[in-house]
Amino acid sequence: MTMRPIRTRLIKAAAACGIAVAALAFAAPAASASTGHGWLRLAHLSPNTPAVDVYLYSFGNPDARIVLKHVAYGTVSPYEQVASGEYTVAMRGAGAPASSKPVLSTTVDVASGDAYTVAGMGPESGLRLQILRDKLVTPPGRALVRVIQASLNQQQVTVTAAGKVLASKLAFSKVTSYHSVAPGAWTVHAAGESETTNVSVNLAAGSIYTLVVLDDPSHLTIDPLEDAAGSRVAPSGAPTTGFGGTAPRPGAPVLPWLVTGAAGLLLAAGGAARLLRKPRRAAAHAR
Amino acid sequence: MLATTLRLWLRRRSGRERRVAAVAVTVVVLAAAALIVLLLARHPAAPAAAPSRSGRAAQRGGSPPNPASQAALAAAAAARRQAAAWVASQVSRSSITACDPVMCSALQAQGVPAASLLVLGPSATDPLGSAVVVSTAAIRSQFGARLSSVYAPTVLAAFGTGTARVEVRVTAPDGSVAYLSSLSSDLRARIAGGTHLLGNSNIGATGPVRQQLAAGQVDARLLSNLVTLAGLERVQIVSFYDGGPGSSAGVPLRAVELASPPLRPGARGGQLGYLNSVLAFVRAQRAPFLASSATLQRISPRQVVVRIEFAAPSPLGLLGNDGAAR
Repeated sequence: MTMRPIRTRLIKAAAACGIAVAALAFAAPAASASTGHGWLRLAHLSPNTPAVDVYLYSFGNPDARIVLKHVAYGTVSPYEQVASGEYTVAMRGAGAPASSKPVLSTTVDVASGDAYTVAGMGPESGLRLQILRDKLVTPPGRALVRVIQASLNQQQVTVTAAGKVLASKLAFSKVTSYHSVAPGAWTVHAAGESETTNVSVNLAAGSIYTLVVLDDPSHLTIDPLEDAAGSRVAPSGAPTTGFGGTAPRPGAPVLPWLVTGAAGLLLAAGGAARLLRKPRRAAAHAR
Repeated sequence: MLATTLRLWLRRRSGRERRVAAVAVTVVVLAAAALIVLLLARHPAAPAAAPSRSGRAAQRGGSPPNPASQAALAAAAAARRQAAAWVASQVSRSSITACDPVMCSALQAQGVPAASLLVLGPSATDPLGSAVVVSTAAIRSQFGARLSSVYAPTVLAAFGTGTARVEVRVTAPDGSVAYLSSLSSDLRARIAGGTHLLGNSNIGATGPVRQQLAAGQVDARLLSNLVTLAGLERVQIVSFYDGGPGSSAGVPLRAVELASPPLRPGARGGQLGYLNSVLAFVRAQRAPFLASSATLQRISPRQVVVRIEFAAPSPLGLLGNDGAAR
């Protein structure tokens, strides 16, 4: 066997590899769309309810169970990518014995490409999980803001920013719809019956925020959550403690990774071919 | 006026003619009087007020009872009893049931508390404020076609026929168009949910059960319980039931029988242990996912099942994201 056929084979293999990877790269979005994924996160916004473990059970797949452990008041989990479809949402007290049964709270139908917040709302005696449909796209050059009122100490809260009323006398456990606002540095002011608070938020164009009004042990507070930054990017964030902002980035393109991988493979193949050619040259010089 | 006319006519006649005419008039008057007396003797006077067809039949004083009317009355009473028993056992005690005074008495006799009843007197203009309305002949005559076209378009259960028919209907607080639209959305969500559940490898189901799941005939509360149970252990569905006799299309089945699936040899507690675990799960739930009844039943010498039943009417919009805040 001569060196030339080997080199030719390597070049052919590298080319085939590159073509395959490129084909994969182009096929990936379609495949992703056909399997269908959405994003879910959990928010514990019931001030007097102890921490809970939350379970999501898929209608069609018993192995697709999602468990969020020890979710405490004020916690907003990062988004989890889940297969689209219907789920039941059940809860147990955090650290409850294994023999205790999860208690069904609601169901959520995850549509492909959509994001949802499953929010534990209301007082402990009337705790309910509410499904909030999260937006991922803003009008061009604008930001979107909504308010969740999760303060039990202040039954009604009015939230304003730069003279614009984002929520007027919003009752406990209620949620506003999204407001389209101009991007910029905003000072958000929340006023309850007996307490007020301010927070500075930098609203970027194309980003989406949820302002959660909470009871800090001693005073009213606002936690600004960045649901998505830019068009269809990273719902993330936790207002106080818990899961932190390590959310995956929904809709993040796969193509750049595949192209980078293909380039790496081509370089490796080229390098191998070069290494194989060197001994042949050395042999020619020896002759 | 008649006498004046007669007097003038007689003045124009001769003496003989007058006598003949007087005799003829007397004969006619006497004949008419005899006819009236005869008719009155054969047909006694009708009562001053006739409240209903059955009431009129009952007030034929002294005459022997008509067998057909008696049968109709018995049929109405039987349908009323059946409907009352069904409502008492199937309709949630937290739901308000609207009924006419007679039907409400029958419901109370079956143990439905007065606080759960809305008595529709003759002046009531609609059954709104109730969750279900029991449609009797009196209620149908009171509300007419608007009962089914506006206030309560779907039938949960029906008993008897003709004027004796008693229907238990779901009240539509926002009108029949809105209710039927919600029912239609709910049916679509139940079809999707049932179809997904059929793909769940932890669900065991036979042919008819599979058809009912795929057709969206199963109550959303049942589906949610079954999905969550299947996330914990295998579930063997024997049958779905309790749609209500004569119910409208789209009204879901609210009860299920579950058997123990084949267990690993030496599984702790055996089949009874498994079934008790299912009972514990079902009884731990909260409204609206809490069953009205969950019991162990022996259906054959060798088989025990868990029977889980949910109260009527089925809430709409539990599946899908109809209630999601945007």
